[in-house]
Amino acid sequence: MTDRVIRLRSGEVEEDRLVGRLIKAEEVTW
Amino acid sequence: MLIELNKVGRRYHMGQGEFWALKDVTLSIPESQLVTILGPSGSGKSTLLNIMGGIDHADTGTVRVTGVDLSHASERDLTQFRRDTVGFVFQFFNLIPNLTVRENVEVTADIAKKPLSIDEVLDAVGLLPMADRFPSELSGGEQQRVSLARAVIKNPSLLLADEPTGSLDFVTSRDILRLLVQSTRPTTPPSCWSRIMLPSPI
Repeated sequence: MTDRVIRLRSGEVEEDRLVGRLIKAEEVTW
Repeated sequence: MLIELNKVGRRYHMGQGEFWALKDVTLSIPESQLVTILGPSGSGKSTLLNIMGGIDHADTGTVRVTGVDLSHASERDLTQFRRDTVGFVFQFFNLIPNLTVRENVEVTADIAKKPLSIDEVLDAVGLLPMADRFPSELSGGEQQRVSLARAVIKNPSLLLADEPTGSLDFVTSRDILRLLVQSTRPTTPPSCWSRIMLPSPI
């Protein structure tokens, strides 16, 4: 369970949101 | 606010050019928040964690963690900051091979201002029965639990984990993540890690 997800792309914050749930493996971008 | 980053940038020189690993990153993280940092390889996750933890420095912008301005801190101040404030968990454990489990944790406890009980922390990560073993006698998951115990023992304001499950199988990764979540709640502050829940080859 995480409170918040910060997603980076090329050194910049692409997404920053409160979630309050599990992060699934499929969401991870390599 | 525990962490405040304002227009933070970090550049690396590559040959004759330069590469910006972070560009104008502005964010605030309050206490007791569990934050997951996601992003593809090379997106700046580790750089961001290292700057928050005082391992690396920003080239532009300002960084404040627990009220300390890291942007203008000397190396000596950064060392003090890391020792007093931050617990680190790394992908490859970084344990001292010729020290036992207990001694690996004790090293950090000895220099901490208000360390937790070694026995209680080892018990919490399920390693009390293995306290006298050496790292080479442990599995990868067990070694990462030592690493987590070592990070938590000093009761840090900030717990940073950079790909803590990157070299573990899925089941062990799940156990480590569960321990990480437990270690940050309800008493301790945010944990940041990159690439959570990675199903490494089983």
